[in-house]
Amino acid sequence: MTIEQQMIYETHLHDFCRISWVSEEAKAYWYPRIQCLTTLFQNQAIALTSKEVFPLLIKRLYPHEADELSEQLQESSLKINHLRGTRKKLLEIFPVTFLNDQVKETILIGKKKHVDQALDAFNKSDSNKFLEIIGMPICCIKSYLEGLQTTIYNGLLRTILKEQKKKELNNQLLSYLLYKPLGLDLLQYEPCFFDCQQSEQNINNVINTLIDKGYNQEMLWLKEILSWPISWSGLHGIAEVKTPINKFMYNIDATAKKVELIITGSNYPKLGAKGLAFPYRINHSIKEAIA
Amino acid sequence: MVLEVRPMGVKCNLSCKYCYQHKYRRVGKELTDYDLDIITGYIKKRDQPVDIFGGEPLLIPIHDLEKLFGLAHEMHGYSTIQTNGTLMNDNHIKLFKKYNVYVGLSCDGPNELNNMRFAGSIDKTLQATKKTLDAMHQLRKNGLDTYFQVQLTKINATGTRLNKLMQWFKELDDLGIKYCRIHVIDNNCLDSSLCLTEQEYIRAYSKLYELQKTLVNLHFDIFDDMEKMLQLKDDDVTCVFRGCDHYTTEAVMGINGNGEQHNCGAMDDEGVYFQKPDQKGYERAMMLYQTPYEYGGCRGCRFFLACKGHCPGNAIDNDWRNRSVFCRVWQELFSLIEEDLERKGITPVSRHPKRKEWEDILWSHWQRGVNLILEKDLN
Repeated sequence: MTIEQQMIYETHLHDFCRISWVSEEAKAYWYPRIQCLTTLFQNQAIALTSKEVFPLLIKRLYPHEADELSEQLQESSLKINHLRGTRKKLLEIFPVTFLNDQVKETILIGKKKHVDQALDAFNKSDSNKFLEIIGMPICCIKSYLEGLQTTIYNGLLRTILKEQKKKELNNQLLSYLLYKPLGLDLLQYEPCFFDCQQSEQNINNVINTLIDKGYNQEMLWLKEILSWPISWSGLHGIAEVKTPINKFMYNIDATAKKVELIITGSNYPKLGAKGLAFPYRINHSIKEAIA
Repeated sequence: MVLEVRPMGVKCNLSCKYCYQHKYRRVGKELTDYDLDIITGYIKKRDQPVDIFGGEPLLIPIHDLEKLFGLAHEMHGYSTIQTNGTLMNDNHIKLFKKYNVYVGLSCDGPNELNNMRFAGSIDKTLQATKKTLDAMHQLRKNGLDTYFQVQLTKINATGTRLNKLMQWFKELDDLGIKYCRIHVIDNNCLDSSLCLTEQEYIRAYSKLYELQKTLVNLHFDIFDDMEKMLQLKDDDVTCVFRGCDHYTTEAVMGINGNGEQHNCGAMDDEGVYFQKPDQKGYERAMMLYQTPYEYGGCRGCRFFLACKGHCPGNAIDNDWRNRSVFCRVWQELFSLIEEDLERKGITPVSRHPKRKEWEDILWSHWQRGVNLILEKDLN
């Protein structure tokens, strides 16, 4: 039994994510920006795929949504295809949470050569090859396929457990992983660790491509958010993330002991709360906003 | 839910060593000024019963207090105030009478028993305590109902001092005081040596429970609430027994003199005034119900329906996802009350054959974001 398995016990809790802001001002300023970024990444995923920043995009869509997308992509250089297979076969590659809604279909979007290669790999049950085609670095593939099926991001759990329950990092770009419950999703896969250099490079590619497409302001917001101190902790099936501007909680697999991750950050936002414990600070005299 | 109005934030004239609001003072939440228009505008908008709170609310000028009491009276016919009483004078008492203000006094007993409500020196503290108790007599003389908030500490609830505290409660009973809330010390107490041990809490609470049986007027709300909860009478019990949502603190909505809103002060160890999310949730109670006791949960506890893990502000390791750090104390008290109910021929919920069925009903409602009032909704 792995250390992760020892940590987790059986519970049931509905899906939820609730946000509490440190002030109305912080909410008024930052919530629209975060929503804007969330929408941007959703909307630009296909554009990033056509530029091959993401070699392949995988979505779970209702049949009518897949049809609509297919129509939209008719004029583009991208191909759309269903990934058909038994649930068991799909589970060889995808986490159970991804396959949650069984009415939805799994759709591949990408250049023809990538889609064909991915379909071929899937049909041959070659998970390694499939994940490589979607752009996952080798280190992440290995960790992903060995990882535990859990709603806690495996890289996070693994990063923390490597250090026995609590881990402090000074990572910047990969801290986006902690904002994922708010919809900030920059990559098509889960990086193996918070210090995965290949994944950091992939995020830089995403950011630079979007800057080239004219989203300079948005990328400044993103970089600012990712430069803040942030803490993640999980206990009894509830994860709590604390940032200088808000805290939020959501459901995860239940852990018997508290697991914590701290990213120390290098900036603190103007509207960040004053507080006594990490990530809050009493004194705001540190370097402030980039954007 | 009451609207907790704190014109000067957490500013106070005393410096109680165990005060749960120190965290806010350390991040500068004491106010030197306030905007009465913002406060009154908010009171009108929220339309909830008003509790004038602090810090110490009598630090604000009497004409402003009158405006607040007047508005609350006009809207609801009454209001409450929580004060240490050391600044109270005849003019305040006139206002309380005129506007039907129910006065809560914070005091841990007479003389040296109250020394943790520190006024700068022991002499000044003793004088301040005398003023508080004089204020209580004045309130009684004017026919005003008052109640007490008492903190149990090493100073007033161990050894012979506990006997003195009990004697004082008897005196309050004789004076016709009806109600007293006894508190455990908050996790954030500046001096942990003031905190009672688990065994000391059990001893003190058990003795006070026995004392209540001999009193005519005075009730300790904790025992009344526990007795009610063991009979599923949860309509008007304290928030700690109702599966409090740490993010929304249903029992408290507060506003400071600068318009800043706040939740119950027992939460948020960082000293940050977190805002209420749009949705309520009962995830903590749901997970405690499923989490084994040895991990910090409540699985299998026969008192879960009555307790629900108690206050998240006093959770094990200061993590609201755990059950109360005082779990053993509450279990002991529930056991005592359970036995008394059974002696009276009442089957407490903890021994009831339908307990599991009721737990399932409550759980399924929590899943939908609804906190049942068991008394109404299960019958």
